[in-house]
Amino acid sequence: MRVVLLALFAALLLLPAEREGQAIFEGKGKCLTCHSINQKGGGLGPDLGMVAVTRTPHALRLALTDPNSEIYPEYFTLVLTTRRGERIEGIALNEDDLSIQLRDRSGAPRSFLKSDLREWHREERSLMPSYASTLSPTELDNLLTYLATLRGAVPPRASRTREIARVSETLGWLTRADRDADERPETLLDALALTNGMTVADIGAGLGYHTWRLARRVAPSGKVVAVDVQQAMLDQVAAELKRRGTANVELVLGTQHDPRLPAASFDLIFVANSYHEFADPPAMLAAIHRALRPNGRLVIIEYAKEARGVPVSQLHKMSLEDLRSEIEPAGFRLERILDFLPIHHGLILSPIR
Amino acid sequence: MKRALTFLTAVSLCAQGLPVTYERIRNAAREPGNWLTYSATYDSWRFSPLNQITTANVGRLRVKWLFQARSEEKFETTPLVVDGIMYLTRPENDIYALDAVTGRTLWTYSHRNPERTFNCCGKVNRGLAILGGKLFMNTLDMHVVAVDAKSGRELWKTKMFDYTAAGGYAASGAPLVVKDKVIVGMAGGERGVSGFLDAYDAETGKHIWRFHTIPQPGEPNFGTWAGDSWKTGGAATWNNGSYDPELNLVYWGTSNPWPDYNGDFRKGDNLYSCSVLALDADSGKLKWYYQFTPHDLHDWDATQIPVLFNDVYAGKQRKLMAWPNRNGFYYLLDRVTGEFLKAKAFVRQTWVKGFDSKGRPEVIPGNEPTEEGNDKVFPGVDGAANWMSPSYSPLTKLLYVFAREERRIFTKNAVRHPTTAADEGDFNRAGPTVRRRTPRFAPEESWGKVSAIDPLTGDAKWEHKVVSPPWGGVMATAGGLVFGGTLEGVVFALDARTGRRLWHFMGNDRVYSAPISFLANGKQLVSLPVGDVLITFGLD
Repeated sequence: MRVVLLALFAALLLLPAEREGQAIFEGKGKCLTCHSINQKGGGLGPDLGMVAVTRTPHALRLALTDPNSEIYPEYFTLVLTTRRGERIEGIALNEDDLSIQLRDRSGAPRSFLKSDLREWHREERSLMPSYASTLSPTELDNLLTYLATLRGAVPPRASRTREIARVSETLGWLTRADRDADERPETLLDALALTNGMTVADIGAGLGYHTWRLARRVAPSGKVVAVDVQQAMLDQVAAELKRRGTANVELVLGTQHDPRLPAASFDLIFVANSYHEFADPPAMLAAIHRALRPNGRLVIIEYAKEARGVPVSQLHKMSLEDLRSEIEPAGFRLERILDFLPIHHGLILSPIR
Repeated sequence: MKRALTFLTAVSLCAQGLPVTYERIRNAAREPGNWLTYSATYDSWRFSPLNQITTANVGRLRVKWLFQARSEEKFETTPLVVDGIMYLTRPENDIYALDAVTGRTLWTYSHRNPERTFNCCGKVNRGLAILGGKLFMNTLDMHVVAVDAKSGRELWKTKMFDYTAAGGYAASGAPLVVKDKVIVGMAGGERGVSGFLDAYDAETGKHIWRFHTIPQPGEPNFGTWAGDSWKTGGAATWNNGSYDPELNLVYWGTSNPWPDYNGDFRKGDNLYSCSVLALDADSGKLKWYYQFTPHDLHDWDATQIPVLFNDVYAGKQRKLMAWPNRNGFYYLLDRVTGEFLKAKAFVRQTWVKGFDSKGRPEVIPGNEPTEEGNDKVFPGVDGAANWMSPSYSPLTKLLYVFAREERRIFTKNAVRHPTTAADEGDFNRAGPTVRRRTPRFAPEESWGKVSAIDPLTGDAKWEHKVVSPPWGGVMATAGGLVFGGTLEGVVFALDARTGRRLWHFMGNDRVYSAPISFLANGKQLVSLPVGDVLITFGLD
């Protein structure tokens, strides 16, 4: 009973367009056949409980009107034809030399021996239908308005229990050969839509792995302020920038409590693999908040504690819950989760005034 | 059946337990019931002369016993078997002696490594060597250990090198016993080490010789590295080698030069990285070398197992060496002189247009790693072959190679001086890195195959395709079969003449080793690690 009342209350909080959209989601659109929201619904497609932060509005509209335009390989359609002529479509679950497993359109996991199949292949298309013609433009807008509300629950400010890692001094890890495959730096910066003229801060610049890439993206009239608490690291950044001929970077020696950034000056503050080493996270977040322009964004990249087999000690990883419960209550709103990063959490947040 | 009986008689005559003398290892093919050295015999055929299990009855093969390693690490061991007792390693550096009939444990030995070791790709070990009554094992912290094969007691332990030097050294391969010596390699090609191959006295553990795989000042070929790059050039020796007793030559492959994907600091051919070395077994002196990949930029180690065979080539009976290399080419060399005879691609490759008469590849530009990542290169970074064992059957005269067909991304990075100082990220990758979302290529560009290669021509007689690029090796048998296992854990027996799969078992976990075969109570068994379980198969 209480649950029903809560649901009713939640529904009343929604604006009319959102309520209309939710009705389409649960009714005419039959979205719950394949998708779930907070574990309620079908299991063929991904859970959409946080889709507003994992997809841009543009990508969501595209996914509804042209589902095949952007599709991750794990959602390619697997098509099997049995020897008896039955055709089955689904999403691949597993495969070996003798058998193949998929989740069929009903969401049921099924296994086939390849010897019982006439043919099987993958198609670069989604099992999701296009809603371009089945929904009216208004219905589509309402559905998108509803989807834009699905941000997951803002976690309560938790008393921080994680141990803070000491500041790293090693270079070996920062120059390892497979770092690009782990961090996908160019794809990451693509998603940040940096443009010429922006002012960016790179806090915890390390060896400047991201610094020169950021600088290249905001050149020629923009600049990057690279902050680190170790002069030795800044020297390394300087050497790297010199080697690459990058000029639009300023180096700033910060402290454990203050990145020493001017107020209301930055379009983007970039913190990669270093938030977990902040000795005083509230002070740093407050300073970052002050330093951002009103439309500025904070980007946090951290090794995901949840991903198995990430080759980093626990102290240098963070869970999504850790990050959200520390950062959002400090006056930030989660705008996007960059879920294409293989073993990192990537968060884009905006300051709330 | 008559042949099987002949073998049984031969075996019962030879069933002498310990000690395992050098003469016995040299003539290991005469003891088909045992598995006395990593690749079965010094010529590294990984061929079992046992023929109880045949193309006709393999369909009835079933599981006889399991050894549960209870380890998260990749299980890469090749066990040894001596007259009813199996000796194997489990990660990190434990030795188990098992009853080969039942799999029951007889004794165990543990070498404890420091928590942080500097292995590139898991805290793995690939197996043991035996001589007399002693088992020999390399350790991740760069020791060689001798253990009493009866009791499991440690007899000696010799430090090979400081495991924390440069970016970190480790030893993960199986040793090779030659005469009275234990020959051991080391790893660290990803960590700016300086490679070597060592020989120790099997009796005492005393160091006998060291061959530096990177020429030292004053030695021939010293000038093949720009500046000081030779000091951190890698060229590790992390797999096993082969031995020709008549020539008294040890053959051993070397790893990539360091830094792996950036050659700017190490201009030159970078000898003897990515090479095969022929060393005098007594002195460790270099007799000849051949470099498969001069100035490698793709981590294409030449740490494959050298397969030695004799045959008529170009009208002459010759001592030959067959080498399916990580760089995508199958090579045929004269193993007396190191003369290059032939190279032929056995997977899709994009980097070579031909070879000169000395066997130097003519490299096609555009295959170099780039800062943005070059994804147009075949084979991939894990190569066409890697460390997993090939097998040669004297019955079919074919070389069986479990090959990888794939495309990956090669990224050139900035490079700093290698160090093992205070860690940030933990280099120790316990188990595979599970990526939540990685760029994946179409399955059509990433798969595996067992290729039956005519070693004289390099032509594939047949190919047996599997879903994923493999990490396991293969073993041919006198029963006309080729055994192996896939990354998905499909253990298979193929018809050695046609490649047709005659039997399989769903092991459902990664295979990171090659099979062995032996006799227990007079019955032929086949063992292969699947996941963290060593599965032993046999007929009823």
